[in-house]
Amino acid sequence: MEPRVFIYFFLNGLANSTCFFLLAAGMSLIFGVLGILNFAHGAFFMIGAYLSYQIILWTDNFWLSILIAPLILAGIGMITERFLLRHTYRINVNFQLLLTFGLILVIEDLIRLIWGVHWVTVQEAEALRGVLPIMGGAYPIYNLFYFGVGAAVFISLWFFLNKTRYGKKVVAASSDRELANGLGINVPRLYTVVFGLGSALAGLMGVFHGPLININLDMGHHYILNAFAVVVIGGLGNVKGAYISAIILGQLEAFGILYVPFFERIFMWGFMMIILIWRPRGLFGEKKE
Amino acid sequence: MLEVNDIHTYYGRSHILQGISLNLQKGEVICVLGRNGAGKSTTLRSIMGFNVPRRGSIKFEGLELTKKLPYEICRLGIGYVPQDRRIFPTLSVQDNLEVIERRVEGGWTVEKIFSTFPILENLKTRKGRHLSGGEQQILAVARPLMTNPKLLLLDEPSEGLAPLIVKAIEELVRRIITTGISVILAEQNMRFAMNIAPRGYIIDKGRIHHQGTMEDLKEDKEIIGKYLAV
Repeated sequence: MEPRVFIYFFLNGLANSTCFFLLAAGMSLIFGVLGILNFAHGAFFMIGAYLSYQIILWTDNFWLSILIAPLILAGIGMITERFLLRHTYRINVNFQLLLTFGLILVIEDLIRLIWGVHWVTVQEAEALRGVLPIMGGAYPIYNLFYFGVGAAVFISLWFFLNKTRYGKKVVAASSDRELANGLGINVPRLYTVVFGLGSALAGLMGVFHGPLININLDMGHHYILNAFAVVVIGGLGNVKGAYISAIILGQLEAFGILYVPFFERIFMWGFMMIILIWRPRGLFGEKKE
Repeated sequence: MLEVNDIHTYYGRSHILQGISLNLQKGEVICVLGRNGAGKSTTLRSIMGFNVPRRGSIKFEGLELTKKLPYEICRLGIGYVPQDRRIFPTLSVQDNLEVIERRVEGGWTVEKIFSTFPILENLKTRKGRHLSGGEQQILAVARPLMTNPKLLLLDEPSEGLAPLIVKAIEELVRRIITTGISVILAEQNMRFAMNIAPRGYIIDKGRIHHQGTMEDLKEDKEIIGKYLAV
């Protein structure tokens, strides 16, 4: 095979990893701290994409949508946690799953009402269009930019959780909610903040992923399954694990398409099965102490 | 300072505390003695708001605690040392302290903790999960000081530790008491409790059976045989 093809597929794999990671990071964060598997996370991602479409339609400014859409999603997430999910913590966990599942239906209908059933498209900012000459060929700038976004989000999250005071509170609460609460950390508020942050990440992914796809009512389902695989392989609640697992799955998908296009999806789920047989808690999963 | 009045606490349908009452004056150190499962931990957990009593009242400096959340109770000035230590495993010793810091003029800081308990300073970058049981217990006892409590609840700090380390913990608790903090100690180790608390309650099956000075309780062989592990 030509080395150029190899490099291009490798770069595609890096871009894929962002698409896996951004969604998985929010899910993993929310699961790690609140213990909630948020089924509606994919629907939040979809809202992000539609919002960016609307903002670009109004302002013709892609960069503005990067700023605004995640903020709105943070708000939606915080309201969801504070006024809906909070009432379910004392009862059976099934009610949380049902609630977040119900949210998907509500969100989909709202989107149908506002934006209709047809797909819409957005275009990336002017500066991100075009191609870069790599090894005598042309590679889309946006893909490289997209990989950069994933890496930047990962580094920021890592910095937040390991180096900031509030981030360390989040870590403390995720390892022992009750005790963190008893030692004076306002855990109910921290839940709201973390849920908002996770939702904002879904919104961010909606904005950045929008230019690569048709924005439609099915997009949530498709990506949430991938994100779920990433979270499980990386270890539930582990952001570093999610990133490494996203990088691996990104490459598996890219080279899967190159070599066995019909079976590309088997790679991902097969890989997940092998990892779970080998390490049931995922690559970086830890026993809760 | 603290008045627990006839509290009834349940785990699901099990009626665990069946009318516990106790009181404590400012600066006082008391002990709640009893076997495993007698209700010592649940008493402390009820005060902290982890297990909210269905009946009865808990007043701290005149404020009712049973309607408050654990973090609010902590911020009113109650520090908690849990059974089994429960150090945040992925945080370093220093982060375990800093993450809950609530500054008070002239109060406890990380520097003050390190100068009071030098062993923690030597371990400050070590992750919680890599500490020995004794080191974890020292950190668990020192940790709530970062919230500058007026009252400290200690849940079996001597449990599962070698005698030498129990001695060290005893020293540590005594040093904390000299700063004027009130203490409620839940214990089944009579000797450890004797060395720390002058007054005690004996609890069994969720009820208080005796109370008095530790001297009197110790002399009563019948009480010891009946309510405490020998």
